[in-house]
Formats: sequence, C-alpha cells, structure tokens
Amino acid sequence: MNRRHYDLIVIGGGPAGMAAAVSAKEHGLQNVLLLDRNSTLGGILPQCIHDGFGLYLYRQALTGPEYAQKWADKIMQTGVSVKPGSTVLDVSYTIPFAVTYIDGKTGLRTVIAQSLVFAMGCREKPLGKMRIPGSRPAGIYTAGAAQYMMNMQNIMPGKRVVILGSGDIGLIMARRLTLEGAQVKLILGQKASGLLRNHVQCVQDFGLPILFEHTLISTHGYQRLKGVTMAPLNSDGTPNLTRKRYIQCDTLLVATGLIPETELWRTAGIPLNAIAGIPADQDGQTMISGVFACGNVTHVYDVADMVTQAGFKAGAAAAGYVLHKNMEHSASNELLSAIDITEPKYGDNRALQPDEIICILCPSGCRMQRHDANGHIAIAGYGCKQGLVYAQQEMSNPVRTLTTTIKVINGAQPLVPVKNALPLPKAKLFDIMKKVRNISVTAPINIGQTITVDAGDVEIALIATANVAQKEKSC
Amino acid sequence: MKNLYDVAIIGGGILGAMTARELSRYQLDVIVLEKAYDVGEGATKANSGVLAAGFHPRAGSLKGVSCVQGNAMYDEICRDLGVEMRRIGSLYVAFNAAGADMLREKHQKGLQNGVNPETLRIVSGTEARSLERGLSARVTQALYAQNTGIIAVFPLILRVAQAASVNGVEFRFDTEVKHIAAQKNGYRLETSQGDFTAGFVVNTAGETAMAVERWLRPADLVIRPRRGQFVVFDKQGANCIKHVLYQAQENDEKGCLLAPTVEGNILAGPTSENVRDYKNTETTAVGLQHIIKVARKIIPDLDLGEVITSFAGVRSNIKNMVKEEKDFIIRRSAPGMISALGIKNPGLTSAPYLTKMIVNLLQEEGLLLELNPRFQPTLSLPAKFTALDPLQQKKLFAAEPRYGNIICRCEAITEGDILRVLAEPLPPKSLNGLKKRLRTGMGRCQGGFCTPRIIEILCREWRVPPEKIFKSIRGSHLVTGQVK
Repeated sequence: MNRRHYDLIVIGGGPAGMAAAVSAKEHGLQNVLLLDRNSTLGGILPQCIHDGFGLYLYRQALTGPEYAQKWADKIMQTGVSVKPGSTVLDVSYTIPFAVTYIDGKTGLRTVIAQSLVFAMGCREKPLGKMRIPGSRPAGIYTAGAAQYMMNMQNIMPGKRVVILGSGDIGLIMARRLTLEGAQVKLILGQKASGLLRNHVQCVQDFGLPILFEHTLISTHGYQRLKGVTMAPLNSDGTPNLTRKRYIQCDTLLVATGLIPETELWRTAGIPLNAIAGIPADQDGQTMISGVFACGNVTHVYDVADMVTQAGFKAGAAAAGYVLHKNMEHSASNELLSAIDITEPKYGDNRALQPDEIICILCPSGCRMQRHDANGHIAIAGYGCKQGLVYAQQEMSNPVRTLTTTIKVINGAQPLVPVKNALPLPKAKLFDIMKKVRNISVTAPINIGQTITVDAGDVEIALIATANVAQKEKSC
Repeated sequence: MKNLYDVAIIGGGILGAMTARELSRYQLDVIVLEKAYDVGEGATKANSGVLAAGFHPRAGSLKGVSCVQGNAMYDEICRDLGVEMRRIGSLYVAFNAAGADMLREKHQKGLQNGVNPETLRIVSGTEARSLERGLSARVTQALYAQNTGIIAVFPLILRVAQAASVNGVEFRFDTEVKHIAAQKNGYRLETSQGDFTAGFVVNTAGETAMAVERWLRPADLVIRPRRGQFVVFDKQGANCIKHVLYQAQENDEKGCLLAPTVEGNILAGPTSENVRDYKNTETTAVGLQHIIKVARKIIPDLDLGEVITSFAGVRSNIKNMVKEEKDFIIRRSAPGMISALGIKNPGLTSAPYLTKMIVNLLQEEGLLLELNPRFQPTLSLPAKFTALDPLQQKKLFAAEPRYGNIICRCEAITEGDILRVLAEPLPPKSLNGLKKRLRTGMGRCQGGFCTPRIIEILCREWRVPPEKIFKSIRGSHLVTGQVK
C-alpha cells in the first residue's frame, strides 16, 4: 500500500503539539503532519473560556480560545498539514515510524514518518481512582467534562454542586457554575492548591465556601446524586470519621488531578517516569531516537505558556534529528527560550487579612497592604507598577474580567465564548450575566467581533473570543 | 396493544432472559416484564463474571448440581450467541493446615456435586505458584479447578435477551408488576404500564421474587438483601493474573476472590453484608479496605494504583434457614406459576440448568411445548468497528463514515458503533444501556471524555433534550438542562 511519508508527525493538537509543529516548520522541515482527535485545534483550550493564558509569552491575559486561535493561525501560516477529527490508535516504533489513525473522512489509515512528537496532553483522574466509596448515581463528573458541557455544548450538569479538589480547574468551574446560576455548596481540597488569583476571583469574590484538609468519604443516591459525606483529615492523612458531615447536592465535580495521556507509549516498551509521564529530556527527546514528547504527556504543567515553550523545543529538536544538524534556533524559539517562566506561588491559603489585597493580574499573586503602620493609606507589597494600579482600583472601584458564553443561532457550535472589552464593576457581574443569558447572536461570528449587551443603564461591549461558523446545511 | 400471552416472565435478569430464550424454542407468546430500562440491571449487573466449577456449594444441593451442570452448558450458549468465555481455571489457596482441611472439604464437595475428577485436584504451593506467578509465598496448597471460567457478563445477558427477542419474545421495560391476580385460565398482571394476561407466570424477579410470590401464596421464606462490593483494576497486560483466585479464609474474614475479566482487567471482591434495601449499592470504606487486604494477601505485589472503580451489587439472601440448609429454590408457587427464590452466587453459572428446571415445571403445569420451526439458535451481531478486519472496516465505513469518529477513546468505540447498537434488537435506552453494549465509559477515564459526547449523540438520535437522557433508570437524569 502506498503510504504517505512525512518528516514529522505530531500527535495531539493542544498547545504542546501546535508549538511543536510550528517550530519544526520554522526549523526547516518540509512535511509536518498534525493529528488531533477534536474537530478544532487547541486541545483543552477552546473549553477554557476564562482568561489568564499567555501572560508570560504575550504579556496579555488571553482566554483559552484566543490563545488556541493564535497558534492555529501560526499552523496555517507555516503550512503544517492538519488532520482534525483523527484519533491515533496505534504507533509502530520501528523505523520509519508508522502511525495508524482513524477519522470520519478516510476511515483507518496508516502514515509513516521519520520522527514523531507525542503531545497527547493529559486526562483527569476519575473518582474511582480516588477509591472513594459510595454509590455511583448520575451527577458525578470530572471538572473538565462539566466544563466541556457548559462551555461547548450548552449543557448544565447540575444545580447544587460540591467540588472535590481546590486546584485551578476546580476553582474556575466554581466561578463558572456560580455565574450560570448554580449553587456551589462547597469546594473541598486536601491542601491548598491553585493560584492565588483564582482564589480571589473565583472563590472570595463570590463568597463561596471552601475547606482545606478535608476530603470526601462517600457519595449517596441511587438514581441522581443526593449528597456526599465529607470529613476532615487527620494528621496521618486518614479521614476523621467522628467529624463527618453530610452535604446535600445533586452534582459532584471531581477535580483531583491530571494524569499524562500515555496510552500510545505503552507499546514502546519503556516504563513511564516517576510522575506517570513519558520520560523525555528538556528538549523532548525520549529514549527512542527520533521520538520526542512534550507538554503534559511528559509531566503535568501549571501554565499553558510553559507547555508551548516545551512544544517549541521538541519541534526544534525533531527538526534537528531529521535534518542531521544542530539547530540554529529560529527567531521565535529564541523569543520563547528567553522568557523566564517562574513557578507561580501556590498554597498560600492564609486567610486574606482585613488590610490585604491580593493582586490577580498575574500568577505571582502578590499580597499587598493598604495602610502603613500609622493607618494612612499607603499601598505596599506590590511586585510591579500594574500591581499598584490594581490595588488603587481595588480600593475605589473593584473591577473584574467577565468571561462567559452567548447563545448562537444557526451556528456550528451552540455557544460563542466572550469576554468584556473594558473591565466591569465587580458588583455588577450578576446583573450583567442575567442580561447575557437572555441574548443570542447569529452565526457566523468572528473572533474579536463586538457584541453589545444592553444592561439597563449602560451598554456593555463583549468581544467574541472564538470563531463560530454557520451550521452546515444538512441534506 | 397486545396484552394476552402464554407466558409472562417477571424480571429480565439472567434467569428471566434465559428462560425467555428457552421458551422461544416453542410456539409460545412470551413477554418479559422488567421494571428497569434494560435487561440485567439487578444482581446480574454486579456479577463477578466467574463461571464457578461447583466445589463451593453444599454437596448434592441444587446449588451444587446446577452449578456443575450449568457451567458445562455455557460452551454451547457462548458458541451460539458469540459471547466470550474462557475456562481459565481457578486456584483455591490455603495458607495453613486449617486452610488445607477446608481445601480437602471443597475437593470432596466438588466431586459429590459432579465435577469431573480429572479437572479438580489438589496441588502443592510450589505448583500453584508455577501456575500463577504472583501468588503469595505463604500459600501451602491449592485446589486447582480447571473448569472455572470467566465470562463477559454484559454481552452474555444482552445476547441471551436479544436472541430471545429475535425469536419473538416481547420485552417491556420500565414496567413494574404491581399485583398478580389468578383468573380463569391464568393470571392478570397489573403493571405500571397497564394490565397483561398470561396463562403461565415465571417469577424470576430476583430481589422482589418473594414479594411477587406473596400475592398468590403465604410467605414462608424471609429473603433479605445482601450486598457485595467489588474493586476493578485497570488493564494490566502481561501482569494480569491467569486464574480465578479464591482463598481458604483465615480467622473470620469473609471470602473474596480475584478474577481476571475477559477484557483484561482484574476484579476483586465481593464482600458480603446485610443491607436494608436492594437499592443500597453503595460501596463502603470498610468494604473496599477488606477487599484490598484479601487481594494483597493472595497477590502481595498487586498494584493498587491501578484501581479504576468500585461497585456493589445486592443479592437475595434467605434469612430464615440455617446455612447448611440454604439452597436455590425453584418451585411451583401456584398452579401455572413457577418462582425462583434466593438466587445468588453461583446463580449466573447455574442459570442454564435452572432454566431447564423452570421449563420442565411449566410443562408439568400443563404448558404445551410445541417446537417453533423458525427458532434460530444462533445470534450473530457485529463486534466493534476497531476490532474488525480491514476489509469489513472498509465496507462499513463506506456505508457510514461516522465509523471514523472515535467517541470513547479508552475502549476505541466509534460513533458508528453507537448508531449501530441503537438500531439493534433491544436497543439501549440509557447511558448504562450503551455501556452494557459497547463498554463506553468503562475504560481508564471512566467516561470523562465520552459522556458529554454520548449525551449529544443520544439527544440527536432520540430527539430529546439533554435532561431526558438517563444514566440508568427513570430519575437518573444525567444533566439538568441547558445553560442558556
């Protein structure tokens, strides 16, 4: 059979895979194929409609769909071949590497390549993995599944929600659910995790109940979830059953961590690394010559920008392998490498002191003080000038970014993600949401398009953060 | 709507479905009334999938005899219906002298129940470890039963019911029998979906079989729910155990087994505890800890990080009999009505034999059994797309390109597969129904990826809003509606 031959096949079109494919092209490879199982590029990004992506790379708080679109554009510009809707079923590790995938256009197909980049990302830990006993009724979802339902499918998973896991995904879903009218009954986590900026803008802003050093000990209900039992943790990590508490809810979101998606690596015959990822060096080189891995498939990163950086390195290394030369790094690679991404601060869950303001502008999460020792207003503790401006604003008229969705008529997708054009008063978010819920726009919608919402006294401009094409006419 | 039948079967578990298929060999109008949305939603669903060899039940009991006979009957059933079954053998291991005594006792029981002596023998600890590599060094002896098998439970119940369906048996779901009244030439069954009349009634209602019988005769048995919890481990490839492993209990531990599944997972359990309600299918911390303790005792190096889920099932347990007298009960409850009571482990193994008993009793009651000349003994339904050979794939794909869209990535199930089962006999009516047919959501991500996508497909195909898609039964809506 005549099989298509590529210089490089990248498996996975999330931030890592997109960067790797672009980088390989920029470093001189001719035929680069990107395979992704979703119909649109970006991996998990299109459903992450909140902002905070690209703070390091672009000094901008982009939303997930915007960040994805930036790279999808680069993919088009650099001429990477893309096959969306393609799920890879098998990889053969003998040279030349063979990749078997399936899609709705050609069915099963095998293509070969001189090099491979694995960028399959990660998946969420299911509840069963936590070995939490109880019943298994309807209403238990991983946070990412609930996010996909709400932001991509226009489906509401439930009304009264308990969130297990206080990492960023759990916190962001808590805000999302609250803005869409659900009641978040409790967020519980074993230890404080998640960025401080998310604690402020997802939890504190809405006064949501959050408990650390607690865990879930059982789920209840036969048809739909009726409630959960939780308990504080003893110092040895076991739950203290004498202090257990029952909480009524119809939905449980599980946000207890991510596991690298390493299924295709199994046949490679090389064990995973200590954190269950594909073992690779800092350029993404695995133990198999010509096979590279980058992003969350190697270990779970905290920030998408870092994943992009890793993907870019792996793409360059793959190009170097195929072209048999040490790569002179491309301009964008230098740009990427030069950016110093420091690990953001976590776990500082000291209660917000009355005099404190936590900056939410970037993952650093600086804790600032409003007053000096004499009680005079004198903001201290900011890490940059923007922080100072933020604190001043926060003291006079706190504003927030609102990211949500608007219903689309006649669209290929039911919703379009949007963000506000100008900062919105924190106190008005619910009023604005009420209005936003009742409006709709007609496809096609272009990214960057302004959608005006009449919020009574003022008109509010929202900006579409993704393209939505018209629904294909069914025959 | 037709409501007059020769035989009405109450309950679509494994026994009800097998009885239905057995009766479909004859020229009879048969209906199965099932309160859930699918077949096998009660005790059948939470089964270990082990075909027992027959050395556990009391010697000469119906349990013992039906187990040995039923086990042997599965070769034909699985061949005819295309259900995967493997006689991998079991090791019942002993850790000390007391255990060795129990093991000899089991050996004798097995022989008295009719197990072929050539397939049942006592082996040394060393030999046991050569058969099963990871077995504990503490194992001193083992009873090796070659006839113990593993079977794919969901495909089994499904194919049995589908085979009955294609041979003319009618299945009614979401249909709970509320009362039965004797009338001239048979019975009137009042259900949540109207009345049905049948000349003969088979009561295989499992958990509620006693309550059903009570409408026609005084109760003499007390049958209460007893729960069994299981833990499922992820597919282990070459590290998977090779045999079903039982242990001779030390102290007062309750018995637990370790069994590979036909799909390559490991199942550990069950526990055994009384509960108040048949709906109490919750697992408990104590139960799961117990299972893991016993599992570790048998296979010390078992990787607990690979646990993917746990579940529990509830079986019917006769309370007002001493253990030594307890047995399966297949009896004539009233003229023309046969009941199966107290059916629990090894009910799945025994089912083919019990089915024959039920049909014989019906005949004794006057049911006329004339062979159905159009009876089709075999059933052939296609496997999932990704398991087919390239030529078949090409053909299917040409007719339906949605065979190219992977929906459940863990089990490699395509949209085409889903559309196909929606059009099969006894199509699924819920997410669990789909899971039973295609294993969607049963992989390592436990539905995290596929559930939202399946909801979308079902909404489109069934033309219902998302809040009308159920996980299992009425009331188990997966979502609450649209966001906006």
